[in-house]
Amino acid sequence: MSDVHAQTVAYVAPSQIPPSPPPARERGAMKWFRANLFSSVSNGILTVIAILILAWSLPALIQWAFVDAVWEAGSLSECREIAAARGVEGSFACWAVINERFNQFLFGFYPEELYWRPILAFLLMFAAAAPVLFNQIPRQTLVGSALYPFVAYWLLWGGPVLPVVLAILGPVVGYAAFRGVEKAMEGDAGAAGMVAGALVTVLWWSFVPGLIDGGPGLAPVESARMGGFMLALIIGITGIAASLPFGILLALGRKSDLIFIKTLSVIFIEFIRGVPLITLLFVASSVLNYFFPPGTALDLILRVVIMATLFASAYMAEVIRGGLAALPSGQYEAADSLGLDYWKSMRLIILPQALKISIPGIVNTFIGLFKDTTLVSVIGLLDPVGIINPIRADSNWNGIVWEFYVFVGLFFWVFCFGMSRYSMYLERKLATDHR
Amino acid sequence: MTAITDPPRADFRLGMLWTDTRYRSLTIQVIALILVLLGASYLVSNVLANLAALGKDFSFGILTGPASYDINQRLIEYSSRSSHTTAAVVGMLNTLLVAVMGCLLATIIGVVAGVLRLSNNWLISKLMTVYIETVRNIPVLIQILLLAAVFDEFLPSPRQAGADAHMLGIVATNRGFYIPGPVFGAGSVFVVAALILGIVASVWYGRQAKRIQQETGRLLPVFRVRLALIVGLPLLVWAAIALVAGAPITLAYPELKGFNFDGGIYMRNSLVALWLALSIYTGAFIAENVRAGILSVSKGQTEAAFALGLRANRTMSLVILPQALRVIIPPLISQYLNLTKNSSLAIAVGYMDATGTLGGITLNQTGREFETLLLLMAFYLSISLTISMIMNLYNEQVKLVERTSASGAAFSFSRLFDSMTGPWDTLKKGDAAHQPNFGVASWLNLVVLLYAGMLAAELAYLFLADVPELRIPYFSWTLAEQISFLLLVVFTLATLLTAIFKHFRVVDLAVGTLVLWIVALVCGNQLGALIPALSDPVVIVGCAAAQLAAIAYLVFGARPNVTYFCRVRRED
Repeated sequence: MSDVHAQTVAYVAPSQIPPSPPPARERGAMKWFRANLFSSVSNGILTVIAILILAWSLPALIQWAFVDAVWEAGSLSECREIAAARGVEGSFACWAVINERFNQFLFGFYPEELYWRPILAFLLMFAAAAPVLFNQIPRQTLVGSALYPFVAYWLLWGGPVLPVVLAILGPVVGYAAFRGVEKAMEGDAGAAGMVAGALVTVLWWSFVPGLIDGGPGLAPVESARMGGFMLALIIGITGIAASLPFGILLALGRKSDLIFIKTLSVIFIEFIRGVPLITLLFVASSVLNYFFPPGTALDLILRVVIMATLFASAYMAEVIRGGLAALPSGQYEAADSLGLDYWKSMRLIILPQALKISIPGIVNTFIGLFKDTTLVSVIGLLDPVGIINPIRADSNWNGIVWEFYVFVGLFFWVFCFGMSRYSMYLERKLATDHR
Repeated sequence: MTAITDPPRADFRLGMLWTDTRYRSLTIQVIALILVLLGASYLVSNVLANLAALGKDFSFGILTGPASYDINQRLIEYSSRSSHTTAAVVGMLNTLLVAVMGCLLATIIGVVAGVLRLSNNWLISKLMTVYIETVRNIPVLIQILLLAAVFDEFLPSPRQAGADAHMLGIVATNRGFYIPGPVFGAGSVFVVAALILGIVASVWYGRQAKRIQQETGRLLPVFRVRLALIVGLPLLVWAAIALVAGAPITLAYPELKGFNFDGGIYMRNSLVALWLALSIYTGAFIAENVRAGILSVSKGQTEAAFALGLRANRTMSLVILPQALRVIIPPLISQYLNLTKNSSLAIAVGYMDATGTLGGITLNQTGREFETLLLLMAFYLSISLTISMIMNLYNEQVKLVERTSASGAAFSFSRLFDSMTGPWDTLKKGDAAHQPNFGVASWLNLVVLLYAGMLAAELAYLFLADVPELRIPYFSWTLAEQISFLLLVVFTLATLLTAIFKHFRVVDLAVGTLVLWIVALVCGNQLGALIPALSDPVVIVGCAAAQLAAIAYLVFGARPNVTYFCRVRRED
């Protein structure tokens, strides 16, 4: 090859030739269409079918829901008159019914002049949740979060303020008992202190707040008047918040070496997960009162919340067990080698990591429970689904079907979809720091 | 240098119960036991006091009384004079009906949607995403109620529907759906026999084809031949009889008679609404499982299969699917379980399933909340536990196994005879000594058939044949009879499942079933009546002998098999 020199070559390009643009079918929208919609014959057919379906359904849907819809009227017949006056043919959405009954969908039959109370409780919830969700907020504000359940209960149900204050003292007394046992056992109390604290708290709650009746407070509202999305939120949020500690204990119990504790946990979890929620709600509505001393008649909402909590805690336990199992066993061994006892190693080493892994699962459990709150309509509570039937039976609105279910479904969809996106975001965020 | 010795053991002091880790776990458990017993006795005493205050007692006797309510969708004979127990059975069968139909449709919807969501067609995959994200995030109760309300309000009345032309003989009215149903005439026995023969022959052919492929490498056309055997053979017999003596099986189309349709199969709107809503809802979840399963198989597997020269469909069936199914099936089964549990929402639309009969009307009529809810929960619990048992057996079968050694930790009855026959090892999947013979026909199929037959007879005796005039209903038996028979059913089911999944515990469960068979006889159960066609001693002795033979085969027989049911003589 040594005899090939520059002189013997006929032509050498003095500069690089500029790249020519890709062919028209390989760039821009054209390429995108070919790659994503018409990459093969079958794909093309599918695309055409999909476009036809969309072209047939979407305009009709928009026409029904927005263009032809009637937003303000007093009854279905008035809706029809307004639509006919506008020259609408065929079916149309009569959103007027949602418009008229909007407050019932939100609050049930809660007294109108007291709407500020649930609204305030709802807003306070965000304030209470903030210190739990964000690390930047000073830790001392967690005290406010701990007080929130009592405040919310008082705001929603009203009644004198003194029993609420006494109820707040319950956990304080329980904590004192816990410290007492810790001290008596020289910091080696383990579960005994926790059991003593919980026992003292429950005993305090069952007897002390009932001692005082009367005094200044808010106007009481009975449970039968609660309903709508407020009720769904009450059951869902209480259930999930209360089920978290139970779920952690059950998960620890299921992974425990103590055979009796383990058996108990497994039986409880498998039993609850094996029966449908509706049977548990039947238990709440017809059997649960039998388990309390004669003469006590617990409120139906409270009974439902108890069963929803038990239900969610079994699922929560499985989620957290997954988190515990996902931790490498080196973490357990490291905690042991530091000489920590069981509860200290759980509290300081294992649970913070396991809970972090399980957060997406916990959010999913919450979404599930929140969707399942609609089941309380079957036992006669007036949640958003339960409140549809009385309105449908109203002679003014008799004949309306789609609008109710679309509205209620849309509310649940917005809430659950938002939560599931949040859980996916958390999953991504948490996955990065494991890398 | 000081010698290191163990410190002298301290004498036992009471404080050591708490401070010494050797005793502490025992202490904690005893304390927990005491606490649980205290709590339980507190609750039970409350219940007793409350029931006594209302003048109620705890007994299932009322369930044998007449139900005196009507059930308009049912699979077995029932009238308002039947007992509450029969009504409950009708409800349970309705639950199972909607669950099975729902699982089938949900699987179809889920697989299609999951595959389409992965399609490289942008529009289709986005549409599927919209479907999945919409349906998953709306409570299923709302979907059920919406469908039921739409059917009731917007479908035409039977008279209007009769005037319109309907597709494929399916009529949708506001009273329900009518679909064509088969009518079995004379000679239909031969068609059914041909179908069974075709299925058996196709199984046999499949095994032969596999054997030939293993031995010679020659590929036989499997799918087409099996299709011809299963579909073609019955069709041929049908056509032959139809030519000679008129069609043995015909389709009856619903026809308008008076105010209603007649003929064909009638499905109430509530059933259709429940079925469709549950399928669409669960299908969205299944679609996500399918998608995750397909994505879990790395692209390198496809490329490796192509590099080996496999065609696309064989790559799918031999390489991709076996790996994807390992990921898909466990969540799929728990979706089935969810669907079954969600079917209890039938009560919201008035479909008479187990919740609607037992937990609904029976509960309200008799006022026995404890008994009915207990039975209802037991029913759902037994379904769940059976399904999760199947899932565990399946998981054990498909899980990736690394090198294992012959098992033998826990006691099994198959060891009982080791002294006579010399030591055997129960091999596990992955054992080096494991014989790689695949899908070999074995007598185990007969064992499966035996226990399937026993289970069917027992369940029929327990539920379906429950006619109060002919036989004493279950809840009127003595307690010993009730418990022993129920245990017998449970053990038969467990034996059947372990035999199907070739778990080595099948030996122990079979022995348990035989023991329970004898116990049930001693307790006074009329086991001879299980098969009415045969005389009592023949059934009792024959079935016991068959079980004994099955156990003997399980213990002594050579069982060449793929999973971990393989026993070999230990070589010392």
